This record gives sequence, structure tokens and C-alpha cells, in this order.
Amino acid sequence: MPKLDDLDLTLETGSKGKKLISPAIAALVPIVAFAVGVHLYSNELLLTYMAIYIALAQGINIIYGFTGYLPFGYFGFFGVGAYASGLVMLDYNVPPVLAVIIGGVAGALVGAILLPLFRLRGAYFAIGTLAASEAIYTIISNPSLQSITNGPYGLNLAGFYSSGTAYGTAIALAALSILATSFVRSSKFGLTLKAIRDDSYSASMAGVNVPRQRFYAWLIAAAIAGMAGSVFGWSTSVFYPQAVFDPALSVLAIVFALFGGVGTIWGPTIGTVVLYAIYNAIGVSNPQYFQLIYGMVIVLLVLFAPRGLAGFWNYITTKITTVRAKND
Amino acid sequence: MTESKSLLKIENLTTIFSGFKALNDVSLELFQGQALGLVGPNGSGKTTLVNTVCGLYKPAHGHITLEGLNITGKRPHDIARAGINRTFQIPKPFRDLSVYENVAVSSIHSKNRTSIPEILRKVNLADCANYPIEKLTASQQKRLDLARALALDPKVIFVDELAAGLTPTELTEVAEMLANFRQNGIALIVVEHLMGFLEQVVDSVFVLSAGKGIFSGSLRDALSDEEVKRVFLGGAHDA
Repeated sequence: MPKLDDLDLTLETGSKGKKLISPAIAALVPIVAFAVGVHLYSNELLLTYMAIYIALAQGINIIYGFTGYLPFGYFGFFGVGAYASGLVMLDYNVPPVLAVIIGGVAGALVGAILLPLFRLRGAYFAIGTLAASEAIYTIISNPSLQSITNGPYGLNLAGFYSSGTAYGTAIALAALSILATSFVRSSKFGLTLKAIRDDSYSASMAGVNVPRQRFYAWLIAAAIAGMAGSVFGWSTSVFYPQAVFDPALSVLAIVFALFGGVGTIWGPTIGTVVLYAIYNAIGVSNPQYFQLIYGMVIVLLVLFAPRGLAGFWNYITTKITTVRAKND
Repeated sequence: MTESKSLLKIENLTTIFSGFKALNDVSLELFQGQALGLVGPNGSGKTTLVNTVCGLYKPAHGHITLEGLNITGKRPHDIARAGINRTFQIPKPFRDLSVYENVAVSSIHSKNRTSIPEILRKVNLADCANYPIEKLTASQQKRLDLARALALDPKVIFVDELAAGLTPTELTEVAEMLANFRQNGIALIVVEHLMGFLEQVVDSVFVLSAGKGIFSGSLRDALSDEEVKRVFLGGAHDA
């Protein structure tokens, strides 16, 4: 256990080596895994979607795991990102990778516009974001806006499709989202967010500008979802508004993040890999039992590992440490 | 100890909840290093006064100034950074953070950063720096509230029922701690029901009843004041 005055030094200067190595490993592992995985499993599109879901789960992790605000309408940023990047590609011939960044900026901009939703709390906030995202969907899919968004007929990006690059971008996005979570978790910013999550008034009496710090977390999460939507649109080539403004995207991302354990770096990544694999395995092998089995998995999770796999792992390691200490 | 410099000035403060005046035209002044007891029966407006000065409630009327700077209606974090802080009747530590991290949250938002170990030593929590919150006793959690307040280099601290539930030894320890704060120029407003503890800690008291200030002066004089006696010992709440 570090001595008291060493702790102070750590806060002041940071143990920079540790701060860099840990996120680097967390980001490198999925990069290597996906790079190797595509040679072992030929369904590249499924792996692309898995990487996209890792990013979404990490986005949920940042806003929910670190601030306690659960956005059911998180899919709205995903849809906005898909449309913003798709439209700049089609209308201005912007290269796809740059368009993905523009999708992230668009997600963040919409996040800024939706900032007043933070006047709401708990379930009201969750439902408020859902309503806002449905409103955006209604606007974008409106036939009267066909000249701008192509209305209900979606976008066709087939001319920009490049499987290898799209896959690589999806992996890079997953790694970036993990790095963002690592930064949040290990920084003073993350410490502040955790204080806000525990008690926002206490945090403000600790000098924390609660709305501003929450806004930053919200922008990061919105930008990640915007980029995820962009990569999805690009790798899917043809998409309709209901595919990118699908509430199921939020539900899955939330479930993946919770299953792995929010507030951690690895949890949402592992949660996504395990559950998305099960999701697709059941969907292919036993589609008739899909909802039953998937629902059971989630019920078991809530009953036996409410803090996710990461919480379960902590519980086991603490038990082992306690038993060892007793034996010594 | 100096008591000359005026720090906090509350003038005609009124806080209204749905038409009900929880605070009604309250005025008081606090000087550097002074310790003022804030007393009154339950529902008299003590916590409302703390919450209003600390920015949780917006006052309907009145002014609050800290060293001449108008802080009326400012946001809690601005007030905290300006130099007014508080503890809570029921301690409110950040439960997912260690003791050290709890203080660090305040420290990293302070204009004049003080060493966290130094702060933990001041409140006798140095041995618990790495503890999770659930390992702390109620008394330690209250001192952690104080530590977080100290980390923002405060000029005024509202101490809300710090003594409740403490053992006689802990009470003496806390009283000494508060005396040390005063010697460093921090002014205290001590919200307390335990008169014995108040006698040890404060120079004067301000008595609230039904949202109104009804007495200001020494604790001894308050105990012999007819109106204060009537408010505490029963009778009409017509003040």
C-alpha cells in the first residue's frame, strides 16, 4: 500500500508510465484480436459490427458508467453520424475516413443541442433522450426532406465501399473508444465524473462545475456514437433511416456495457465480445429460441452478476485474497 | 485569533418554497475566525439557511456577500470556490472513491491547493487515506466532509450537526479541531442541538424560529432570553 505522502505525489505528477502503458495495452489487444480474427473467421462484416458495438458500449460506459446518466436515446447520435458522414460523402465526395470524423463532430453537435436534457434525472432523462432521438429520426426520414436526406429511402454508399478500409476504421474506432475510456478512468476528469455520479450536489460543493464536466463526458460519448454510426453506414453501404435510428442499438449497447461492467476499461469490451458472439450464434443456430435464450442470459446476469463480469471478477479476486490472508 | 474582518454578510435573506417562507428576512454577519452557533428547533430554517447560502436554493429576496463580493444566487461550485463550504447533517462522501480520492476531488478544483496528506492529518484521517468509505465510522465520515471542505481553502465553513452521535472523546477531539481551524482564520457557523458542545466551540449564537432570526448574542444570554426559552420549551410558534 503506498504511503500517504507518495499518494500526494502521484496525484500531482501522475505515474505517467503506468498511465500510458495500461491504456495502450487495453487498446492494442482488440486491434491485434480483430486483425488476427478476420483470418480465422471469414465473416468480416460481423466482426466490423462487433467493433462498432464495442465503441458504442464504451460510449455508454463513459456517460453512464462515469456519470450515472443512462441515455436510452443513444442511437440518435449513431443515426446522425451515419447520415452526416453519408451525406458529405455523397454530396461533397469527402473521403470516407474524413467523413467518419465529420460524423463524430455531427454527433457531438447534436449532443450539445440536446444538453438541456440534463435538467432531467433518472428515468426521465432516459426517456427524454429516447424522445429526442425519435424526433430526429422523424425529421430525417420525412419524405418532404427527400431532397436533403433522401427521406425514408435511406442512403446508398456502395460507391465508397472498401471492405478492408472500413474494417480497419471500425477497429481503430473500437481502440479509440477504449483509449477514451482509459483516459477518463485514469484522469482527474474521471475522478470528478465519479464524484458527480455519487452525489452531484456534494461534487459541486467540492468545487466541481457539474454541468460543464457532465457536458464534456456527454460530448465524448456522442462523438463516439456519431463515428460508430458513420462506420456502420459506410460498411453497410445501403441503409434506411430505421436501421440507423433503431432503439435496439441503444438497448444492445447498454446490455453489453452492463454485462461486462460499467466504470471499467475492459468490461464493456469483453461484454460486447461475449454477448454479441452469443447473440449471433443463437440467431444462426436456434433462431426460434433466440429471444428466450438471450432473455435468460440477461436475467441470469442481473441476478448473479449485477455489477457485470468485472464486478464478478473483483468479487472472486477479493475472496481469494481474503482466504489467502487468513491462511497466512 | 482575530475577529475584526467581516467575512460573510447575510442581509434580509428570504427563501420561499411554494408560498411558504422557510427563511424570513434573516440578517447576520460573521467575522474572520469567529464561531457562531446556529440554533433553533426542528423546522426553524437552519438547514434552509445553510442550503441557501451554499447555493442549493435560490433566495427570493436579500443579499449574501463574502468579503464584499456578492454571491447571492451563485451556483454551488462558484460559492465553494469563493470560500464558503459546508459539511452535511448526514455525511455525503463519494462512496466509490477512497478517502484520499474524496479529498482529491476538492483539491484539484481549488485555487490554492493544499497538500492532501496535510489536510488528512488536520482531521485525523491520515491513517485512513486508502480506506474505502464503508470502512469509515460515522465520526470519520463527518471528518471527511470537513477534509473536503478544507481542501478548497475555505474562509467560512457551515458545520451541520457534526456532534450528533459522537462519543465524549470524539466530541473533545472535534472541538479541538474546530478551534484549530479558527486559529487559522476560518470562520465557522455551527448548526447544533447539543448545547454542551456549542458552549465549547462557539463565541455567540444566532437563534432561528419559524424562519426568523429571534436572537443574536452569547449562548449564556440566549439561555436566559424569554423568547428563546418559549421557542425551545414549547408554546405558540408565532415568532
